Amino acid sequence: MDSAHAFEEPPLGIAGKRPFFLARRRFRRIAALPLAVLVLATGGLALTGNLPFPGVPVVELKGRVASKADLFTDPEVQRILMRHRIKVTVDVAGSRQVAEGDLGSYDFVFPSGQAAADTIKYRREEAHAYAKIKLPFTSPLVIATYRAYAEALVGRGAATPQGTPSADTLYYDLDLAKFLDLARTNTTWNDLGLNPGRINSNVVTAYTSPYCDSNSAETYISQVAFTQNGDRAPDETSADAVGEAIKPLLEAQGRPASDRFDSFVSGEDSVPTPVIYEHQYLAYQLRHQAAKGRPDTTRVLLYPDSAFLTKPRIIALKPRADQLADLIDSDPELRRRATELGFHAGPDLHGQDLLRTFLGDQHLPVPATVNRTRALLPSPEVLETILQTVAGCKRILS
Amino acid sequence: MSKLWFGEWWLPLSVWAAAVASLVFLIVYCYLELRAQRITGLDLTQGICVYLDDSAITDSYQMGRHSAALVQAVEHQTNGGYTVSATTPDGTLGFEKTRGEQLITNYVQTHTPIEVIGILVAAIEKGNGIVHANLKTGTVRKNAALVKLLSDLGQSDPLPKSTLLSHVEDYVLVKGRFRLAARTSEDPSGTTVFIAPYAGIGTAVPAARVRLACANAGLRRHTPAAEFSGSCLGKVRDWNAEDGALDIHPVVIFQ
Repeated sequence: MDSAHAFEEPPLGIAGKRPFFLARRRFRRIAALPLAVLVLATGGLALTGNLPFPGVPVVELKGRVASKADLFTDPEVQRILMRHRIKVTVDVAGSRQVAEGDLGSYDFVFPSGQAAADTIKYRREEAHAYAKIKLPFTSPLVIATYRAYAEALVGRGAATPQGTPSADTLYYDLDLAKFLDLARTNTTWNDLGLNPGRINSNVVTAYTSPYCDSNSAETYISQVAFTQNGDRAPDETSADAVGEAIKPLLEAQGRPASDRFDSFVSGEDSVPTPVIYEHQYLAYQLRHQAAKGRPDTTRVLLYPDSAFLTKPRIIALKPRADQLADLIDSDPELRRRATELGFHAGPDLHGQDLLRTFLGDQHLPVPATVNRTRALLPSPEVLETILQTVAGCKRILS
Repeated sequence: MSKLWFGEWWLPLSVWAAAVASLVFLIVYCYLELRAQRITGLDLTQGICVYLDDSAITDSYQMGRHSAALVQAVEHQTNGGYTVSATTPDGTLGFEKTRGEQLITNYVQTHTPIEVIGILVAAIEKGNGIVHANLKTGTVRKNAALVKLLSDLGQSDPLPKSTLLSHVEDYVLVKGRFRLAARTSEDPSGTTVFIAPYAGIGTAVPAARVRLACANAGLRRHTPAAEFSGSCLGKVRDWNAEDGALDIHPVVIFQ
């Protein structure tokens, strides 16, 4: 063989074997979509905190709740709680009923005020039972009324419109002492000259829920007792006398009933001045605004000058309800929703009052923040004495 | 689950289900791909068969190197995965060999050539008997067959960066751009020659090519007239320095 015409065999480079998922175009084509779905879905779930399997069992909690039952029956609140895998069912009762009842079958309770919460706390401590307390929001105790009644009180110097008086004023300051004087003198609404053409021959007074059941009634009685006692909380020595003095002022309303605000909203003149929580009225106005584009200016609020800010407490009776208490207290979404339901849920991140900001955003008038005398609750024992004197309520505390 | 629960969780649940379904799909698909790769190592039989040497099956068996794997593959195929062992107590192959031959013969007679070649390729590949070369990239794949070859050549430690196909004594699977180069006659006893150039290795040996001399009897109905991308499983004969061609005895060519 002539080496000048000989060809040498070309060597072939030795290449490592490529992984099948790189080497195979078909694999890349078929696997691309599920791989993309897997990456995106996993990333999305991780970012939204939903990486654990969504089918984790829902914790079902049963509570005994007073006037804040609206919070737990609200679909939006239920939705937010379900996001945290919590489902809540509630039995509704007055705060004092909540405090004195058997709580063995409940995971949490939500009395509307301090007195009932203190009683529950005391009972739990006595029994060495679990209790974790949170104060998620506040709401002042107020008196709702129709504009004609409010203006009648203004005519007697017992009420003053907040801000510049106008036909749209929704909020009035109430001189509670003068208001009680009207009852003390058996002054009727007709005597005040109701306009336009309304007739009500009942004595001027406020209408409460049953004294022995509810926090609002108990708190209003405390407010009245505070005013009656010269803006001082009654003590053990004055409790009986104060009770006797305010009893006729309260009895002017007749038999207390638990659905006062409903009667008021439905337009019954028989309940012209129900004692309510501010959030009930604001929630009503927010619904009215949403439905009709304007607030209901025929219904207004009276803010007693001896003010009392109710602080409902959620009390976890079992550790499994701790998360609910924590969420109600501090979850941003639930605080936002509580604000939308009229509660004072504290300041936002910028220190602004959430409720005032929200009302402004909804083009609803905002109640004035004025320095009022803060009515002081009497001690639990003194309050029990007053309630016993006024309405013969059974003593919860022994 | 309650309507409230579903209303709140349907979206995360759906995304979660999609993620899980994708993961399961990928796992299953990877498993099937790996299994397919382990069985065949290549997609050879998915192409169009251009040429098939029917006698190669029994030849391969009779050569003995892959007979056990071939019998096992055929048994696996015909018995639904169960291998029947009939080795004699003293380990001799007397009865075993006769039975194996019969098995292979029966299989070849009762199955299509494509099925048969699939079994053959699977058996040889499983026995690490195929060196994979790609003329288009100028590379040979580093697999067990190549490592064994280099080891036999005393070049396994360390492995060289390149090697020659003419060193391959076992089967070689060559991928490349083939074209019809010559046809001696249309008669079944005649020969048709395909060639594929070495590419991707510079211009040092521009004329270098692989040459496949196919018996006309083995050509399938479809014989591409134009250049085609294909794979050839065969046995290396020798490098012809005069022609600059590596002669390979083809067993099967797929387009």
